[in-house]
Amino acid sequence: MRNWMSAVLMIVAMAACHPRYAPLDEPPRSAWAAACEGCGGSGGLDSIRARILASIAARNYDQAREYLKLAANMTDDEQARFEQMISAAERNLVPFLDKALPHIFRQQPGHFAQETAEARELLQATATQANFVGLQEMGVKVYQRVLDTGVQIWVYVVNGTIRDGGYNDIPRSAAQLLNGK
Amino acid sequence: MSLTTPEQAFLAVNVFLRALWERTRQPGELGLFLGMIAYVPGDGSLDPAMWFDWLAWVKKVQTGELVPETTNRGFLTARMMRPLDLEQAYLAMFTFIEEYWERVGRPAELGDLLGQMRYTPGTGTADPEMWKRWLAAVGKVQTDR
Repeated sequence: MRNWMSAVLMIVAMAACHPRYAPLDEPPRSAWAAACEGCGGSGGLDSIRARILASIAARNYDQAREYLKLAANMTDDEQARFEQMISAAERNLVPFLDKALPHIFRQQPGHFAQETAEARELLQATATQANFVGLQEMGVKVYQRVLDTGVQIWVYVVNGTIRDGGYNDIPRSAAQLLNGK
Repeated sequence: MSLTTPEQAFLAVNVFLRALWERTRQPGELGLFLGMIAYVPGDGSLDPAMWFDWLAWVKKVQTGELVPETTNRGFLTARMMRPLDLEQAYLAMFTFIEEYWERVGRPAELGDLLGQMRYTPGTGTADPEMWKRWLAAVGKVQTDR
């Protein structure tokens, strides 16, 4: 009896440990399918976001756009923001420092309240050689341009990244932008 | 050298931090912060929001009420504030810098500076030199007035 019980337990234990092989005729998953695993939840979206950013960093813009297409649950605003990020990187525009974003985009005077694609584009498209005002004594590169609306966009760049930026309803002079006086 | 307006105190913040930056004259977090808070006479600061952040902390020191970052602080004016004594102005400066430091992910350069600047009533600043520098900055602003 004891031997019979031992044999049954052995069979049950071995069955539990037996590896489950996928059927050989199962088609291989594409990279896109793998990327989209769990797209329905926030974890999946986080994965897609990370892959888009990694593709941008690797200058693989086509792949970044392919990943973006997979993000079905992403809001239109976020899709537009990522598309702007890809486009800006393609154009070699000065990137934002991620940690500066909460300071740049906030609901305070002279700042864009939300990090929208349009606001990002206004700032990044300002930080170009044609709009360079000068270097502050403390090492900050200052850029500005005045839009058709009369609003002045201003941007601070340090060590190759945008660290601050916003707008002035009443444009300031180059001298003011550089030292406040 | 006792009481100071919010504008004078803001100028003193500029003078105080500028003197600290002069020790190394290196581009970095402190230099960037100075660029943002550079005083624009009659108009606040180069980064317009920084002037209102400053007023929010002056108000906090004086009344205990902080207008949160999530609320537009643009309604604040210097006229709403009472004159500050030197300790109040210093505490407003400390928290003003600390709020920015938190907002931008706690950069080490400003974190080290805040560590030296930390003020304990009755004891003074962590680095005694900081209080002396603050008095010198306020004195300079009041002399230049």
